[in-house]
Amino acid sequence: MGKITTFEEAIDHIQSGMTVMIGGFFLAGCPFGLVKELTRRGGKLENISLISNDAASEFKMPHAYGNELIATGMVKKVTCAFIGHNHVAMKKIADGELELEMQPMGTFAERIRIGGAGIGGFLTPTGVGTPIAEGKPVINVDGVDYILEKPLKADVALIYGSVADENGNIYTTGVARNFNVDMATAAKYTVAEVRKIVKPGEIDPSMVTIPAPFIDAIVLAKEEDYLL
Amino acid sequence: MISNRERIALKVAQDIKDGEFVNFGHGIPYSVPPLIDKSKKVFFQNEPGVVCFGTYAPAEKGVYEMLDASNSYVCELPQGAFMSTSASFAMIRGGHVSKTVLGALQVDSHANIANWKTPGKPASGIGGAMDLCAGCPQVLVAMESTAKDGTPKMVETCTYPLTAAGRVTMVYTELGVFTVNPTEGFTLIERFPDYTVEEIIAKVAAPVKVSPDLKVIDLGIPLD
Repeated sequence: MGKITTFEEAIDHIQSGMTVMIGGFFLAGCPFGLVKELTRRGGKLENISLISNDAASEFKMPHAYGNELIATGMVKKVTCAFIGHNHVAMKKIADGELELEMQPMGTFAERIRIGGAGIGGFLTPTGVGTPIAEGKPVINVDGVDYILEKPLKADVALIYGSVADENGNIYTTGVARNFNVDMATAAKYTVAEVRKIVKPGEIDPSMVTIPAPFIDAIVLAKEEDYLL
Repeated sequence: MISNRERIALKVAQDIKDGEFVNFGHGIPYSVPPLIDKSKKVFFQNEPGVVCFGTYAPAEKGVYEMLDASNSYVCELPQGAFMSTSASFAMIRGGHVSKTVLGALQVDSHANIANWKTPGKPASGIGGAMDLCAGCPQVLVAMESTAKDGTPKMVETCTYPLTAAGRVTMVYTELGVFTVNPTEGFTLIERFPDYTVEEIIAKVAAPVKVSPDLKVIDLGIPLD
């Protein structure tokens, strides 16, 4: 199948001006090696639009590269539900150097899900009567107001999985499935960083979290990137 | 002597019912789960995509795949379940989580809540609060009655950016417990024994009705 590749080759798919999704909820299910490799491209890439729940960041931990990624200056816009742990991003936003689109988390998650599912928008009661509704159509259905939210899509998604088979079927444990499941469907090119690669057939089909057709490339994580 | 925050958390824990399915937010609410009587079976929901059964306690450290929305480790209990975050919010927004307990900056007489942004300061995030308010049938606020500078947090109309309009159902403070809805405003239904009704009304910057069945809270432990 030839989906197994290197960090360098996978990140070579990202070009200036592209939209990039990064999976993970704080440290859970964040593809640290791919974020690290993207960060290494600082100075070569620009105008990246980043879609990530928390800007791939966690201030207490050594292996989160979200702060460094933002510090490179390659990111022009962040779409997220939480940014407070990324102090570099907070400063750049305050200084007017970084554009921010803050979303309710459920809206953020669902926009990614419909982005991958071929749906043109969804109606949510979340945020009606709040600043989130400003500038968006509010549609009344059977007496209830809903905000029209549009899909989120990306050129490249960097996601995390626990185990992949060589075909690209992925099994993910625990909370780490979070946004990775839907981001895998919402990008033109999806790379999964996984802790283990096995032969096709070794993952019980009933246990597959992300089916192989959503995965374009697989990289094997370096365990040193995941030490606490 | 127990702190205001502890007494609020203890009172919320006392009122959680057997069999309820609850999401606890950051701040005071997050300290509630260990205080719930072990005889009650409570399901806990958490935003990234986890449902746990029983006490929600930190698990053995060292596994990134077991972190919750507050960056604490969750137990992998045999009765629990994991899901994607979009499915987690389908659970929340769809009304399948019966109760959420949230902290707040302000709550008002119209049952509005503001808890994500202080005017003039950059917001660190919205997180799941707007979806929890939109979807959960019961929205409980657990907060101290005043900000650090003494400003009342229960007000007639929120001045901070809203998290949700008209969705709060109850407010727990160190003064007592209030119901709230857009037509009735605040009603005091239970008070802590060390505050009189008059003292409580004086600390709320909005009209407060007093329930004819007003109860005095007994946490079963001395407050001072």
